[in-house]
Amino acid sequence: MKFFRFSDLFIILLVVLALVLTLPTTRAGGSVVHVIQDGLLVRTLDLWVDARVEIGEIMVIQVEKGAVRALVTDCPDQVCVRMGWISSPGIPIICVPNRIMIVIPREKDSEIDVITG
Amino acid sequence: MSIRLVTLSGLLILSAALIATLFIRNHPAEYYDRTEFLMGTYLTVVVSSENVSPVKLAAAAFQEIRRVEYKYAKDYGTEVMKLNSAEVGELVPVDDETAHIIETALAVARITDGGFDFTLGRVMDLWGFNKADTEKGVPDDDQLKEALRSTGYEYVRLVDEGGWFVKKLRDLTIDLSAIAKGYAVDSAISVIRALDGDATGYVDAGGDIGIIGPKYGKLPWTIGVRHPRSERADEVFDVVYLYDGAIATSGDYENYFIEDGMHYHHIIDPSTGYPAVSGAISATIVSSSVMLADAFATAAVVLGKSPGITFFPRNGALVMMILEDLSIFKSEGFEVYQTR
Repeated sequence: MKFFRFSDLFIILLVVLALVLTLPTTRAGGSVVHVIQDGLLVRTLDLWVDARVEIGEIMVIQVEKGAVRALVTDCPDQVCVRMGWISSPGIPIICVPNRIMIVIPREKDSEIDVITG
Repeated sequence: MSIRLVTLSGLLILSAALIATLFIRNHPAEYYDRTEFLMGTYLTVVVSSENVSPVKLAAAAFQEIRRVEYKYAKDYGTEVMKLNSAEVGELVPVDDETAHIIETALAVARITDGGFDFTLGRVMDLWGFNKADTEKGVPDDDQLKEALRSTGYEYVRLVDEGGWFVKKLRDLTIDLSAIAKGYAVDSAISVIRALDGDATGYVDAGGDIGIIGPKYGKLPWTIGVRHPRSERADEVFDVVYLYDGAIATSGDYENYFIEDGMHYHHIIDPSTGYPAVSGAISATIVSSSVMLADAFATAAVVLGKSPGITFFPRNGALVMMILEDLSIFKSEGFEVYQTR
């Protein structure tokens, strides 16, 4: 009796499939950032490609080493610029006057669901 | 039994176990979220339901928030315009909803000895803090003193079991937009619960959060309290776990401007007309409703670690304050919300 038979391949495949399905495949921190204006997705940027991106003539967004911030905005209160960098999914930078939300979308449950303050 | 059989069964059991974890880990409830800019802030509804479409629940929530906004917005709120155009001593009829909001605002104002005051509108206008798109600056001191003379919650009264509103000061204007924002969230949550009592999720109005129901029906929501002095928007100072109720935070870092090297923030001390200097730079309140949590949070930044703060817990508001040196002051019992 041979120890390994051709039909055993199915069982091995099943094990491999189970491993692939269950191993964590995504980082909790996503790899893209969404820029949403008035509820519409206006830009999707790669978090790992350093760039400065202009949104209309109202905002410049800076992406650097997996983090993103509002670098310049034309509104008087500058709240979004002062908020600084984000690199955690689900915690947005908000510009109320320009109705812009910059957010790294959640890919799975993250440590913090929502932020107060 | 041969080694072969043992190995094969072992592998089969292992795969079955691994696949089973998939079902345990992937919770059945999926959360739907929608964000809109309303009431001078962003509002996010995160909701899940097994009985009603979450899209429908979120739409109903936003419809309710819009209804409240049109009634109580500072500049065009139908109800606010009616109250602010009243003459001194004139009895203005108000509906149950308006009476409830004004009663709550008056109650918090009394409990906090005026730390929270909804008659500061003219003072806020002078600073430019009332709207996100207005220029901000230090007002002329005489103008400020003049405006301050026409403020004071004690000049507002509800008579005949709240059915009538009356003001006792000619130029007094009321601004219900802050407290109405919290009320709108509470009311939107009630609307969602009326459509599906088992719905779960939360409503976030610019960091003031009301819980619809526990995460996946059984877990607390993990809420990060923003670090008041961080250069990162996602740096968390502390964590709070909530199954229900509400949480709100006010801080001197949210909205401010710098003039001649001085930092002027938007939480105005009603007794001076100037930004509050109480030693508290951030105050987080856990309470039963967003309306209460938000109003008490504003008052806490005004009062700081003064004796007045000890009255908060007996009125259903637990406080966590971050002081200038980044030390923490907590009401007794607050730690209950900091363990899972």
